Amino acid sequence: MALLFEQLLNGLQFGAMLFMLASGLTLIFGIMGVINLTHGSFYMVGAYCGAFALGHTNSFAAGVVAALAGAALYGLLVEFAVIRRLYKRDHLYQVLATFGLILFTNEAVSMIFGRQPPMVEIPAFLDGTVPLAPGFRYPLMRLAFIVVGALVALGLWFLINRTRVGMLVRAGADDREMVDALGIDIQKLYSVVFGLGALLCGLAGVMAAPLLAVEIGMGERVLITTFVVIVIGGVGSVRGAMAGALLVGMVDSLGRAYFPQLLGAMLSPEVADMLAAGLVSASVYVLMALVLIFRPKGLLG
Amino acid sequence: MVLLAPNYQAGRDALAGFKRTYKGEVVAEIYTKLDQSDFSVEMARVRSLAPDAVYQFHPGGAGINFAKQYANSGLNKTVPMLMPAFSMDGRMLAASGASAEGFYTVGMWSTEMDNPQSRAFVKAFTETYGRKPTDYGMQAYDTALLIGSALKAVNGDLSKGDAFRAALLKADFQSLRGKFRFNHNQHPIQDYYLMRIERSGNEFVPKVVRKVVSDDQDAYAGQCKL
Repeated sequence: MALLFEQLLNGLQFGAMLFMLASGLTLIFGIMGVINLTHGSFYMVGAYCGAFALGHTNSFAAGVVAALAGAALYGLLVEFAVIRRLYKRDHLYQVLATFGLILFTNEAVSMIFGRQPPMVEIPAFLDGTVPLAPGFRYPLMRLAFIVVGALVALGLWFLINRTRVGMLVRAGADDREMVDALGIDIQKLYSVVFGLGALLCGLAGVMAAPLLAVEIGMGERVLITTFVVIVIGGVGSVRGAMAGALLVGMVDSLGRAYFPQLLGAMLSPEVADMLAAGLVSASVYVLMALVLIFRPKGLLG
Repeated sequence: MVLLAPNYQAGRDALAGFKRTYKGEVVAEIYTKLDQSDFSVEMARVRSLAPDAVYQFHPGGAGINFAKQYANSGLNKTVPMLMPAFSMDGRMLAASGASAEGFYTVGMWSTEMDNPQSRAFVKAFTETYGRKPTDYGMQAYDTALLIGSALKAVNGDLSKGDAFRAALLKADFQSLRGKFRFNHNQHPIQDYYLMRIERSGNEFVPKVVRKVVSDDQDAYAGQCKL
């Protein structure tokens, strides 16, 4: 029972991380109509900037500020220098350009920060485990991750439903030509959305840095799963991104936890091992296929 | 034991190799995804299985993730972790920091190896590049020494191909790993050591605990026709 609860928390934590990445990506795709493969790179840039500041100041707060600033500034730079020229082009051009930017960013980061993955220690106030039930302890850093994910969700809900910018974002997601025709500077809105998406990536990056290796290519590893999340949730919907992130996080975690045992109980060990390993790798894509069969536009699209 | 490795050929090979000589009970074999970066689920499972020890093969970034999360989950205090040296090389050790303290690795060499040629190499490498050499650096250096020894034997005259090859097979050089010679199948015969990651000043290093295998040869040497 404690194990199931722990695996649920693990799924929640993975979901929180996916949500921070997917909410920005879904807005960029939904509002700007841009397929942005560079999204994972923003996450990496955030992690590196955070690790750099943390290594030099020993303050986690400084690391967070540096990660947010670094990722957001890089996002704005990318929007200004490249994406801005591609709004009217076909998706294929956007994929090509942003794929090139992945390669460019990886090379730039290894030139600036070096190839050695920087060490990021867990800040003292988040180190260790806390008891959640008798005999059940959970790492504090992972709990903090879940809390930050929830705060981001709340913050985004407020921003989108209660502010003027949010109103424009919602309008833009529905009909961007009409927003433009009504005299709103859509270019400015695009920049805001793109910067906000990159900022959230930076936050995910710096939160992940103490738990994961900060290395070249870390962004590509989460990129595909992030796209799966927004497709499941429905492109352009932050609530969809939230539902998709939680669903993918849970399916992935519980699948990894229970598929091998479940199949092991039914089949011979060799067959079960191979099959479970394959199923575990494919579980989120099977989930995506199922969702698309019944709701071709995603859960909340 | 609980064994963990990514679900690809090298990972499967690593666990097959472990099981070939291990006589105790393997409670579970867990195959992780190749691109996986978070291991919380697997660690919860390890904790529930409560084995005497864990053996894992995750080279590169995945290994850093594994070490950091293993320490963060508190498992490092209850379940000792063993791994091949590839799962915690020098660069990974620098990125893992205190998380890696107390883990055991097995390999043919360590920066802490106590022989004069290895000490001289580590010192010179560290002075030149500002970091400790990895096992791969050691192997490259040994290879250069080997080629050098054979070149010396033929006085640099590479037109004597057969003599050069014969000199290579003799492996007449002082290997950094101590003993080194070639088997009849041209694979090395060498010793293996158990290391424990320990603090040394500001950094963490693999201290040699003891030699675990003498004159080890590869598992398929007997079947080789060479």
